[in-house]
Order: sequence, then C-alpha cells, then structure tokens
Amino acid sequence: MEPIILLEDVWLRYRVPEERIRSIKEYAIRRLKGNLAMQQFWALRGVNLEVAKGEVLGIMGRNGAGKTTLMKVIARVLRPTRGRARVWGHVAPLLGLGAGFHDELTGRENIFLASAILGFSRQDVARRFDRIVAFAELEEFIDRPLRTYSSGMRARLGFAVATDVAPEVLILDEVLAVGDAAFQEKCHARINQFRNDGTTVLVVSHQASTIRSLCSRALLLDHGQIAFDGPVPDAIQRYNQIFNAALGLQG
Amino acid sequence: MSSKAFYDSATLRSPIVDSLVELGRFRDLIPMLVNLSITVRYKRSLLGVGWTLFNPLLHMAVLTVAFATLFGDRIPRYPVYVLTGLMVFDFFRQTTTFAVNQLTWGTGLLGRIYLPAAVFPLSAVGTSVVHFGLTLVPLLAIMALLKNPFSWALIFVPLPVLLLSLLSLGFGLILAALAISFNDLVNMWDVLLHAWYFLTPIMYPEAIIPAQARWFLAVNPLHHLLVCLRDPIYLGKLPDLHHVLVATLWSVGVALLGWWFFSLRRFEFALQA
Ligand SMILES: Nc1ncnc2c1ncn2[C@@H]1O[C@H](COP(=O)(O)OP(=O)(O)OP(=O)(O)O)[C@@H](O)[C@H]1O
Ligand SMILES: [Mg+2]
Repeated sequence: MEPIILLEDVWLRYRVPEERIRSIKEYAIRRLKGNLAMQQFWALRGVNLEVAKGEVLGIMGRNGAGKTTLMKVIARVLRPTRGRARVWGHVAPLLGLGAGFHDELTGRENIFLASAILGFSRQDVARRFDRIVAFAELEEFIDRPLRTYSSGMRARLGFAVATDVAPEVLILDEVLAVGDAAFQEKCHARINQFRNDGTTVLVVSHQASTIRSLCSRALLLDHGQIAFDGPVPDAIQRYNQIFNAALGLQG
Repeated sequence: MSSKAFYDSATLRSPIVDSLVELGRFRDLIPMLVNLSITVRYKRSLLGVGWTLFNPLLHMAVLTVAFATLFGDRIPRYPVYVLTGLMVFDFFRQTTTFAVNQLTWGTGLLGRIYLPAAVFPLSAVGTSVVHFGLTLVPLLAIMALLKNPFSWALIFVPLPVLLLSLLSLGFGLILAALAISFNDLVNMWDVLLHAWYFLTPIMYPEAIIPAQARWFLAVNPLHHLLVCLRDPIYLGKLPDLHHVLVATLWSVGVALLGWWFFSLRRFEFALQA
C-alpha cells in the first residue's frame, strides 16, 4: 500500500517561558541577569506513523496527550521541531471550522474569504458557490452579515466551505457535533461519501463508540508517544486500562 | 504517488525562496484581505471611504495654517509641498503599524490552519497603496487650484510608490515578526516614528536643517523617497539620479532583509497562537 501520510521520528516542542516574557524591557532585564530559562515542553516525542491511502484512522488519548498537536503537524500548521513529516495530497483540516470568518461581512463574502484562506482561487469558488450555499441550507441568509447568524448556522457554513471539495486527507478533531441533528446526519453522510471515494480520514475522539463505528485502525497517544497502534478493539481496551490506571492513582 | 500538493517538512531550500513559492497558491487571498481591511474599517463610520481622503487633507490644512506664513516665501504652493510629504510618511506609518495588527490577527488563523504568514504584512502594503491612490484625487485637485505645473515628469511617480512599498514592507515584516513576541515594541516604534516625522523635511524646507544634522538627511530613506515623489509632482522635474539610487538601495535592501527575517521565523507564529 502506498502511504499518504508518513511521519518519521517526529518531535514537537512548545516553548513555554517560565513566566511568559512579553516585553523587550523584561527581556533585556532577564538577559542581563542571565535568567532567560524557557520551559521546554515536548508535546510529541518520536512519533512514527504511516497511513495508507483510504484508511480511516482513529486517534485516542487523554486530554493533553498530543492528539491535536499531531493533527496540526499533519495539517502543516506546526512544523516538526525534529524529524520529518510528509503528506501526499490536499488536507482538509477541520480543526478550525469557520477559520477566517468575519462578523461584518455577509455570508457570501465570508465564503470567498474562508475559501481563499484555505487556498482556493476566487474563480474556483465562484463556480462552486451555489453548491456550498445549498449544502449549508443558508440561501435566505447568504446576503446578511455573519453577526446575525446563530452559532449553528456559522458551523454549517464552515463545514460546507471546508468540505466542498473532496480532500485526500480529512481531519476530524472532535468536530462531529456540528449544527442540529438533521445537519449532523448530513455531515456524516458526506464523510461516508468521502470515505467510499478513497479519502483518508483521521478521527480524533474520546468516544469509543465513534472510533468503533468509523475506524479500521486506531492509535493511542500517551504523553506524546504512540502507546498503541493497531486494531480498534485492542486500542480501546488499552485506552480503558490507561484511564483506569490514572483513576487508580488519584483514588 | 500523486505529485500534486505534496508536503515535505524537510525541504531544504532557502527560506527566502521557499516562502515565495508558498505564496503562489494563496495569491487571491491578498486582494481579499485588502478589501476586508478597507470595508471593515469604514463600514461603520459616517464618512466611509471619504475619511481616507479627509484625514491627510485635514492634516495638511492644519500645517498650512500654522506654517504657511513661516515658510511661505521659500515654499510657494505650500499645501502641495506638505501634502506630498504627508502622503509618503503616512504610507510608511500606516503600512508598518498595520502589518503588526494584521499579523496579530492572523496568528489566530495560523494556529489552526496552514497558510503562508506573509499574506498578512503584504495585505497591509496593499491597503496603503489603495489609500495612496485615493489621496491622489484631492492632491490633483489642489494642484489644479493652486496652478501647480503638471509636467510629463508625473509618469515617474509609480517608481517611488513601488520603492516606498518595498521599504514599508521590509520594516513591516521585521516589526510584525518581533511584535508577536514583544508587545511593547509597537509603543517604541510609535515614538521612533514621531521623531522620524520631525527629522524628515515634510512640512519645512530642506534648507533650514543645520549643517551638523545633514548626515541624517543623507541616510534617511524617507527623505530620498520623498524627493523622488515630490520633484515630479511639485516641481515638475525628474529627481536627481543619486536620490533614486539611494532610495532604491534602501528599499530593496530592507525588503530583502525583512523577507529573510520573517521567513526564518514563520514557523514560530503558529506555536505562539
Ligand atoms: N500553544 C501551546 N503552547 C504551549 N503548550 C501547548 C500549546 N498547545 C498545546 N500545548 C500543550 O501540549 C500538550 C498537548 O496538547 P494537545 O492539544 O495536542 O492535546 P490533546 O491530546 O489534543 O488534548 P485534548 O484531548 O484536550 O484535545 C498539552 O500538554 C498542552 O498543554
Ligand atoms: Mg485536542
């Protein structure tokens, strides 16, 4: 199988200044005192991952395990501090639904802006415009300013813009709760359609049921490392083990 | 393996070239951001885009009332002289401060989706170019009113505007990249701009600068750019070659330096979000 995502020994470091230095004055004072310690936080530690075209991969792990960070590395948002990440294809990262939306602009203008932020040309969007609006079911509201939209309406517009073109890789980081029940149904149908057409899907979820129903393989992340990578039932079992162990420590 | 949209975090090209290549796919975004900043800024104000024209005119009027009697003998058609100076300086001030604002707003996006960070400072330059173009209308009107000569040298004007864009972009890139980490930088820049404003012959004639301060005139890129713009508009003649050369050197040099510095730091912005 040819890989579509290949991560080789990926490390990612966030720098957290002990107390965040926010001004040049502070920086100068600290520098003079030789007190510039940065707390380094390695959110990913040596992740190796190969995902084949068309796979549906579940990612589990406790809060802070590094799931979102890993997705951001794949989506090119964060560059690995060490190691190498390669992706063959267009990634639709549903990390930021409605990224770039602007309250003062109308729904129409926002579709163009958000699409441009995702790297689509104006001409291309103009051609697909009606389809996007139809999917979001916002025909009546499209020329009203976004600030008059409800949060569900925004989410619908965001989802419609981000998924209008079938991507090679789709990242779902806990965004499946979009809009009302009927719209969620529609989102799931579209995701299934992508899956059938060979899109690789990465699903981040805390819910075992979601992973079980969608995925063929699952990862378990723990403190920035892959603790398990394999069949879904085994991954869920390990997840529960880690979870119970943590509960035991506290209790 | 499909070769399109291939991403490799380990590409080893120089950052200067790399970040230029990245921009390609996002070229439609820059005019959209320019449009956004102009419409959003004026949507709720009464005068609308007219404010853009009004602001430098008001400034010009104040300076004319204050200084026309003082410098009037040496500077005929004083409003034209002042307005050209203000147009250059406002361009520089607006672009550099707006580049910081745009990138600050942009880091919210950069932490969530991939896009080349340079679109934000570039859109600041675009916005200033539009403003500059709009201010040309009242400038031409005032020139006609005061019987300022219109010369064929006016066709030279796009060159200083281009150089001014490059210079402002370079400073804007450096400032924006640093201001993400240091939030008092903007205040320091304001103070610096204030001093720079008074040290550049915007409202007074070049001749009143004392001999011991002339060296600053020689190294001040805004002065050379201002001469390049003012000579064709106000005097109806082409600027001396040496002004064009110094202005070009500064502008291209600072733009390259800024692009390089910004490109080196461009992966940091998403981490800071
Ligand atoms: N911008 C940042 N600066 C510093 N540290 C960060 C930053 N973003 C995340 N972290 C840290 O990195 C670690 C991993 O975060 P990440 O968001 O990847 O976790 P997650 O597995 O997605 O958690 P959750 O289940 O809560 O979504 C956490 O400990 C978090 O504190
Ligand atoms: Mg997360």
